[in-house]
Amino acid sequence: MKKFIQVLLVIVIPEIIIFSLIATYNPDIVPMPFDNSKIQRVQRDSFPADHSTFEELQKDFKTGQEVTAACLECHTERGKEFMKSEHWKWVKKDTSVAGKIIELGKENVPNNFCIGVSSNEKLCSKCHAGYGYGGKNFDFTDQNNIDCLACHDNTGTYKKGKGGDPAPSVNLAQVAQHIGFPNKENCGSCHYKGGGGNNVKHGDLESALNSCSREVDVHMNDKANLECTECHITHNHKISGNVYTVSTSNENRSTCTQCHTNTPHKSKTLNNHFNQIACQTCHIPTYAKVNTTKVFWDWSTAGKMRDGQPYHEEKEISEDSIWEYGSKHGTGILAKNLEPDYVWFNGNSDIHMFDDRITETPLVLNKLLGSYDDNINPQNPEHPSKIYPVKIMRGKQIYDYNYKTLIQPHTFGPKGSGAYWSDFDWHTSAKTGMEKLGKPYSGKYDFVATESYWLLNHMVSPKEESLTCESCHSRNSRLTKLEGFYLPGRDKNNYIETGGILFIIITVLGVIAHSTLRVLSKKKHI
Amino acid sequence: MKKVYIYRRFERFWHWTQTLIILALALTGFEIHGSFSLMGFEKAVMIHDNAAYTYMGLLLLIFFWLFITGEWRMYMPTKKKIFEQVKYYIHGIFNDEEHPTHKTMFNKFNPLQRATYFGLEFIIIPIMVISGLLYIFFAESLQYHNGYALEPVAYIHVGGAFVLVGFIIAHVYLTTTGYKPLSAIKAMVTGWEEMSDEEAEVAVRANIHMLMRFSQRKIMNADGEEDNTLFDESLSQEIDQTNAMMIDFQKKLKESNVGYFKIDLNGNYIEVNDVWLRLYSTTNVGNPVGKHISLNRTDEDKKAVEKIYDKIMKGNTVTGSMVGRYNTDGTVSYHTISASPFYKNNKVAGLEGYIIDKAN
Repeated sequence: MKKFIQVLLVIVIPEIIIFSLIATYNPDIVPMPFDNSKIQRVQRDSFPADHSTFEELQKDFKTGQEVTAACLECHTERGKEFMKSEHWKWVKKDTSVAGKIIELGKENVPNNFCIGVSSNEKLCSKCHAGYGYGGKNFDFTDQNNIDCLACHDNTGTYKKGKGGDPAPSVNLAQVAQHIGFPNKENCGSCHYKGGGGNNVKHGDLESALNSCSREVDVHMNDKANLECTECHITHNHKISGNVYTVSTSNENRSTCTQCHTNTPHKSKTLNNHFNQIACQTCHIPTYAKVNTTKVFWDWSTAGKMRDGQPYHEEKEISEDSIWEYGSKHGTGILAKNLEPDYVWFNGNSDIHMFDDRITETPLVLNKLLGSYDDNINPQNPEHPSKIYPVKIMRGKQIYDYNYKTLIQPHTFGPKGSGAYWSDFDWHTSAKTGMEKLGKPYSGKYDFVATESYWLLNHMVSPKEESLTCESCHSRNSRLTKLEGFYLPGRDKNNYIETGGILFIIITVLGVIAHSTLRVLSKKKHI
Repeated sequence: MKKVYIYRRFERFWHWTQTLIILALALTGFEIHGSFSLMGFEKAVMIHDNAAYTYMGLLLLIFFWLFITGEWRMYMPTKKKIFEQVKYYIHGIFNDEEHPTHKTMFNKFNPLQRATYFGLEFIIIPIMVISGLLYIFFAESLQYHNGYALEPVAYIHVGGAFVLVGFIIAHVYLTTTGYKPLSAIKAMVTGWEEMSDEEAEVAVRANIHMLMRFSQRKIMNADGEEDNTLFDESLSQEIDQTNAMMIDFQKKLKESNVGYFKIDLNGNYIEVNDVWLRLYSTTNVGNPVGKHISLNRTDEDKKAVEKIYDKIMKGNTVTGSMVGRYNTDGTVSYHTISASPFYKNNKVAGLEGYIIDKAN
């Protein structure tokens, strides 16, 4: 009994105490006071006056230009301001990797959706914030051509029609009297539809955001109801935020930390992760959560006919993905509930332009720059590179076989104009397209595999659905493709692993052999 | 068979704490490494870190203890008897040979154990602690400067972990090579190790010598010099002779097939010898020791035994009484008892005596 109590006191009770502490104590908590303060939602310094009472707007407006003229009577400086903006010019000045100032825009930057705008301007007017846009003759200097209403309509009734003019059904006076700050429907009317349909291009920007649940987007859902401009802060029509298919430098970005602090978690470890991991990486576990986005577009198969007629067909290839074929567009795959890819990214990108030669396949149209080495580079105390989630759009598009440059095909136009969607001839389409672009075409074309990278920033999931440790720290890590650093749980050294396991196996075999011999020798030392 | 006190309380405490912490570290560590999935990465990291810090605290206590008690010397590798020890494990153990070395409180390890535990406590574990600290502070290192590379740190830590797992397997197996398969483990729990009488004798001798040496060093003459005059040959010989006599007597008892027993004032067995155990057809000394003499008796014999007991307690000697016993296997046998009281401070403190089996 005494012995038993001694064992209890010396071994059992101390171990129970020690191990209950080891199993429960959580030291990974940021010491109080915990600072999770968020900047208050942006406070406007002014709110739109009630425009319905303004005499200038009590007119029967016949055209959009008339409305704009009325706007500019009071807002005298806004027109000049807006004409400098990217929304007007569709070109932005940025600094290239080499440090050169370059101009990037829909004119000179090809993508792997509809490829480019030149020679297809008539379609562009669907979105361009100008009246009458539709070719080289558009007067970019006439302030009256600015489409104020596309962004400032607060009635929800404004629509763009033919040539970028207001649709005939729009009551211009009514809209003009009810203008205000742009809301998400205004921005979304264009930005949701990039690539030719809802959510096709981005995968994280789509019409579902107009009204959704917290699961779809913690910021823009019906309850929190943030507007785009609360993060994309705008001063004098200059809007913050980059899309890295037409941006190259780490300037003017909209970031999570505008509102959230750099240390938003209660766990020190999670806060430390911010040195290497962007917020989006954990907090956007899936994209295209509601509607499908296009992930693959192969133009090279376009042009097949059925009974001499162009056709279109779709097949469901899985619960979340659709295969489609169209004579005009070729083969495509649309998918939803997708797991992002991940890249090191430091805010800079290298954009492939029409003039650039193709040196690799697949050709990456916008290389997102950054690496782990860049992250730990002591010359960069800010550690610019972090891991970001991206959608990778893969495609196959036309290029000049001799010049090794991408081709801008002419796609939209009447029969006989060389437009591919009417004539279905790549050669003439390439020829007329490149002519309008003002670039040479050698006469021989082929198709090249291309990739474009789309950073995922929107449709942030609730914290309960964010990634867990195992999403990355495990053998089937989401970060499998990222190299150059050791990630606990993901990485192992095959020599150590094999050696270690062999060592254990040999030990076990030794034990088995030795004990068997002892038993067989049938002596007292069993 | 005898039980010899080998492991002191703190040693047992640190051994088992170290055991559980290393098991916890291995379990959570290999989960973090991605080898399997059990409690989840986050929980595994938390427990791994807590266990690691606790272990570092324990290591401070252990090294403090080893340093203060001088027991660190037991970990210093030696060549003495190392080949005999190797030979024992690859040959002698299969032929029922005696262990070439003996375990005592002051020299617990055989030469192979010395080498292994030296490697463990003074090489592998320090490497694990240092690489572990570098692992833990890796994230912090990135925050303030360019940081160090995690990869070699991690590989050293993982490699060490494999070595430790192998060690645990071999270590647990080798605990079964003591007097009986569970002797070593029981000793690590209670402190008392089961040994053959011969081994116990060596252990007792070693203890006496150790204590003598210790006492010797603690006596000075008036000039402040070590004084050995009190420890001449004769004292040492006297101790040796007494010892030898006792052991010789026990051996003779064994050969003459006489069972020896010792009983305390409450009528519980304190000690029995191997012959006694054999007569009762048991090998486990825990069976009788600590239990009352009336156990396993027929009602009739219970009275007889108690009568003898009372008589001796009054100071008498009993010779040749016949009593019956239930053997562990359920059969009934008879033996004669001769017993007399033993004294402590001039008071009866219990009784001891001998049993001789009645021939069938």
